[in-house]
Amino acid sequence: MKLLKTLKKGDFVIFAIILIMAIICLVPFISTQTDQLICEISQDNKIIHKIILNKGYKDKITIETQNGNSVICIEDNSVWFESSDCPDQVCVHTGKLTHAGQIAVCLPNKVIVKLIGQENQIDAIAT
Amino acid sequence: MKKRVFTLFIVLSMLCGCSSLKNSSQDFFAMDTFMNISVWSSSKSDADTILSNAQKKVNELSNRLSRQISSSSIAKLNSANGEPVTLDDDAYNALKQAVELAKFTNGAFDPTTAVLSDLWGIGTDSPSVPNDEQINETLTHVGYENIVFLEDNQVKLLNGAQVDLGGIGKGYVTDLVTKDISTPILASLGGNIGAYGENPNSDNGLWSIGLADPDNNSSYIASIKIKDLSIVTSGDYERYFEQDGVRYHHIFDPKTGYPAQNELRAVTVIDRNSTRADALTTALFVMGLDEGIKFCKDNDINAVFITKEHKIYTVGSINLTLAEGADYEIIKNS
Repeated sequence: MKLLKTLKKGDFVIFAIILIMAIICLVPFISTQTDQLICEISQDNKIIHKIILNKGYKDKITIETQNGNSVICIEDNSVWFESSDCPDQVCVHTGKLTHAGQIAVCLPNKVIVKLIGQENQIDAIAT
Repeated sequence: MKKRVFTLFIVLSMLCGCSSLKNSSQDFFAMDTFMNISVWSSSKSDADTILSNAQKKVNELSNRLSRQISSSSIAKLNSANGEPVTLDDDAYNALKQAVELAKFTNGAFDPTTAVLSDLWGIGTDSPSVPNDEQINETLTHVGYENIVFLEDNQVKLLNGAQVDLGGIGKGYVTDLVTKDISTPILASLGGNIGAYGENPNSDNGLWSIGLADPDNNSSYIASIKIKDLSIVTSGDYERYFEQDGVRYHHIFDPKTGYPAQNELRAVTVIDRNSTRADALTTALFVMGLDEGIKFCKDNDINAVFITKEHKIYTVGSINLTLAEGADYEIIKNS
């Protein structure tokens, strides 16, 4: 109480400014958390599809490139290369992507399929 | 009044120090594989510059170290019919390290297995199983002893040997690209990971790296937290073909001429030096589980061996965490 009595109006103005500045500093750290999983497909460094995955959603996308076609399947929260006209089939061998941060790539066709979301528990996968 | 202004000034200065590091990240293709480099710095433009320089360095090194690029000194060495060729500094240093690592692993890693890759055609659209006669003939050109270093960066090859730096290339590039960067960087060069500096996205500054599931390599079966280290994996699941129910992968045993056939699906090495880790994963895969574990213990190597029986053997000071739902058992060998 004694302390409160010694404070003047100007002190409270400073406290208010400090509080407002602190809140402004926090804004970049508050992200709009969402459980949404997004499938991002790019070809030759250009994003050509961005799809929000949902249970019940089903799609098959054919990417036509100079070197051949890649067919990508989406079902519920899974995405995978169903087939690809590439000699090594690394993209098809990758299997299903089901979590944020996972990537499948067709190098010859320059197709990248990525799952993006908030639930990244790891920074990278050593393969 | 003066005291209040002074106090306000001090507090505002402190608040300015709370700004987070800025990130710059890029996916790109190089060295016949997919890459991502992520960099953090105090400003976005700094991060962009560091990233751009790193990507440029990867592309430059990729051109210098590749035997597929006809203008590279490695390609010229391979087509010189045994005559000496002068290599550029990067190719020379990488080849020197490759031969040292070949000696260190008693030939389990060998930079002259290019002729075997070409014979089997793995990764091309016409892979096939060669016959014994073809393999035996090709083996006469295999052996790191065929690489002769002369003065002034000159090298010559004996017995029709062909050099391929693919076994250490990504590791070598990771080392060169990350060595002069003092801010946090996470480089994933075709699955070859370099994680240096404090991770800005974690409370303890460590990077969480997953070990690929051999049956679905976009997923992971276990993870490890590291800092200022490289993690490299060699496995039978990326480049392979199947014939008559048998999988033939790209990790050749230089002594038999066949893809190494043993109980292993993958080997991971954790080391500060990515070049060394890269070569060791190949060598340890070729050695197999028992010999590989012994080699690691004898030489103080931190490694992880994943077997066909769904067991994960760790050697050295490795703290692995099994991923949720992973049908594997961790067995520690200190």
